[in-house]
Amino acid sequence: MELTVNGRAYRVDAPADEPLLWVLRDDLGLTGTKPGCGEGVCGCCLVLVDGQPTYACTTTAAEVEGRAITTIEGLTAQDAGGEAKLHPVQQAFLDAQAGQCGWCLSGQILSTVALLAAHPAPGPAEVDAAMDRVYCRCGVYRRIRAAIQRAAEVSRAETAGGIG
Amino acid sequence: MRRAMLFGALGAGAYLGARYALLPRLQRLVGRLALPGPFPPVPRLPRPSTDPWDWFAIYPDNTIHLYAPKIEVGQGNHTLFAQLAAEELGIGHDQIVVHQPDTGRGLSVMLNITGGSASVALTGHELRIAAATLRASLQEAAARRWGCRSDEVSINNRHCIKRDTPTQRLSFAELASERRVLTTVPAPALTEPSQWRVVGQALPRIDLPAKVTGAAVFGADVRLPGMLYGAVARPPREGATLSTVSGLEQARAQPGVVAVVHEAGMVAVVAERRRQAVAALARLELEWEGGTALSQEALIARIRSREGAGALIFQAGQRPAPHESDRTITAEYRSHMCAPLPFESPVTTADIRPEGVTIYAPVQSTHFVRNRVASALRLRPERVRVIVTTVGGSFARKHGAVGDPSVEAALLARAVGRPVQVAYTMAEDLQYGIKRAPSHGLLRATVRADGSIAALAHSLASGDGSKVFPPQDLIPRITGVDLSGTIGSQPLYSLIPYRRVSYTHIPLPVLTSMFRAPGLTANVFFIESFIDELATLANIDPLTYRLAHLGDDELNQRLRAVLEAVAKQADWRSDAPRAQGLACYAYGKAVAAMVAEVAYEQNRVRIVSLRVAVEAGRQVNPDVASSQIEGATLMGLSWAVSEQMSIAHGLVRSVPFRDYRLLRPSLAPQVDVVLLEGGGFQHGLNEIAAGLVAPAVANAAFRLTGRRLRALPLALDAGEAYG
Repeated sequence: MELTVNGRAYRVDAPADEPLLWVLRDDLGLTGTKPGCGEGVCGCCLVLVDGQPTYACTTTAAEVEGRAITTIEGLTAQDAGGEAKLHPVQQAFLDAQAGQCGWCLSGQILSTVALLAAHPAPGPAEVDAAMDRVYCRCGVYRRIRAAIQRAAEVSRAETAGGIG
Repeated sequence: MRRAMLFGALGAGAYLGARYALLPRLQRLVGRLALPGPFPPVPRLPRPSTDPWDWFAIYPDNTIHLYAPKIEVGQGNHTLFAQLAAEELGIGHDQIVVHQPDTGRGLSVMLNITGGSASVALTGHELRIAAATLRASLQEAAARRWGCRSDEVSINNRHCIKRDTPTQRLSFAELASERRVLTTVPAPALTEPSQWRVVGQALPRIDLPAKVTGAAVFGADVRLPGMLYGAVARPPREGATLSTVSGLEQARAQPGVVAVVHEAGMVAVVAERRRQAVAALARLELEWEGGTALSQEALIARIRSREGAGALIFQAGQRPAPHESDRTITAEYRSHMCAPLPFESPVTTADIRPEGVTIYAPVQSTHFVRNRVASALRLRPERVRVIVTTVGGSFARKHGAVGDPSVEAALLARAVGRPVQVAYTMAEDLQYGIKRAPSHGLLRATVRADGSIAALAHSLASGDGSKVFPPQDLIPRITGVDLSGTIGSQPLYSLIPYRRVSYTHIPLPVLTSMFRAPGLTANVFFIESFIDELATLANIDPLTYRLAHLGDDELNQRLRAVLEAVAKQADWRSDAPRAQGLACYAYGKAVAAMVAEVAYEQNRVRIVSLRVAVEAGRQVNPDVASSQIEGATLMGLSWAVSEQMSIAHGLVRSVPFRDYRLLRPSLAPQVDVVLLEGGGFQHGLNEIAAGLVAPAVANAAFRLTGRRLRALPLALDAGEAYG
């Protein structure tokens, strides 16, 4: 099958029912997407498919052939000098020091990217719904909420700057 | 053989102990070890080397590498190490690359257990000396090159600079090539705390940048050339062993299968893809024998304390003379099993070559894994190298002494001659991983007419708190008292004239072992809820009541300080219309108090906020400290109100992840942390808050609902899922 991940096309030889999670991790070596509960609840494996938050453990790779898959590795851009440039949401999580063991962070960050794409100025209910997509065992929720707020402010400021 | 001799000796010891009344003294000693105080309670542990080259390497690209003797599991200790080193080295803390322990490189294996919130307490001083020595050595080397005195050399951005001619500079890397010269410099004086610029600052964690980009390599992310995946059959009951195995050929013929391995009581499939291994394993016909048929009802019946029964582990003061107006109050508390459940489930990758065995694992200790793998492969431990990866949470689950797949991965790698990775799924971890021991406590108080407590007795029974965790698991075998089970069981209020705790250890055929905040998450709930019951009966404000029972000794003064601090933060008032609840306790050298506030929201009890004050000395990084307290509070909340597992037919019931009921992210309340400096430096504080949540919430819920909850998890909504 052919997959488009982070703007790059891959040919993959995997069983038809193979979850996207294992194709990303075991075939493509994109280990930033983490295995969790395997039931589409904990959110550690969350990736974006055409911008939509999607649990990679309960989605087969075959289902998402031909669609644009974004993983955590695809968020970091390179500037002109070849230096890694963090996505504003990644930067917001760093600014809020929102992380301990780090296992859920790729899911948290991608979930926030999807939230802000849908709701540039998310209200509490939208933030709650986005937070419930990804669990954090270390209990860093207060900082994750702060990181989401911060990322929202930064992206609004950038948008405003772009328009102005 | 050695084991049989050891147990023979222990048997004799128990006999002699009973005969010469040694046993009661040993039991009291365990009780003393469980009390708050210096951690670990065993003094004079071997300290690490102060030789800079045991700690540091300077690479040719002038990067500074620190080989930590303690493992970063997410608690932030590597950031603290970097700050301590940077302070003495005169560089930025983010200019140091901190490595996880690797038995092939680094400090004494003795120290390679991480836990007890004690990384810095056990190794920080030596690290500071090593870093100061390295700095002085680099300055001395530069001074020799330039023919000047070493105090004319300053340090900037990993270079030595001649102070009067700043154009003259030598990088650390250039200087470190003269390593022999460097090691001869004696250790200089350490930077005075009043001069600290890096230590004590809320600096960013050094591990997070790699974690937000996905670049960090966790245990499950290890990929070696030619690596295969193993799936191991797990028993249908705890303790069951394989009796017959058939269908081997059928399994071997499945797609992707490289080998079906049946050895050392294990049957497993190795395949090119992990799901192929799992699918082929299902083709095997397995019969198991033995093991336990324990049910949840039988477990509860077994974990039952009796008044005054068991070992007397703690006694303070004198039983007061009875008054006519005395009242006796009793209550019964219980805790059920729950799981640490780090989100990265245990996983190991084994690589076996003629020159030796390499194990890559996200573990909390290297030496248990090393010894177990060496023993399984009949090798000397030095032939096994354990490299610790980035660790996706541990919470004591990954101590590596039991319930981890290292031996399985090693046996499979040897069988197929290629690297093999074996991972628990999260569902497997819930069923076969380590659980918190269930417990049962009977509390009895003698209360005076004025409401004050004249005597408080706690009779506690619990399962194993340290199963297969040597050498701590020997303590209950010798004394009948489980150290982890007793932590948190002892009332700390020194103005209660008579306090006593008796303890009964009840071994269960279930894997319960070390746990985050060992003992505290259940025992402090028992004690601090009961104190609240007594305050209520006396019709005295719970804060006033607690303060009235605190004495003038140091521990009680510190408890008073955190209680007053958290009460102020929470605007505690006995006449407040809000439903608030209090709890306080101490663990190691940290003391803490918490106020929970709850309210009805759509006819359900919701936790509005948790406020916690911790006094644990001056912290290397107050923000890392706050983050740990916040995290322990919310993990503690999840255990307190939501998580629960039960056993059926000898095995933890398999439930969907959703039904294990972790605290739902959007229900995580506001958490406010007040850090009091107090005296001393960097007392471990990563665990204590987890023990305060259940009593604080239960006491608040009582104010709201009038219902006293005496079992964990708290049935806040009478059977309805909180999470």
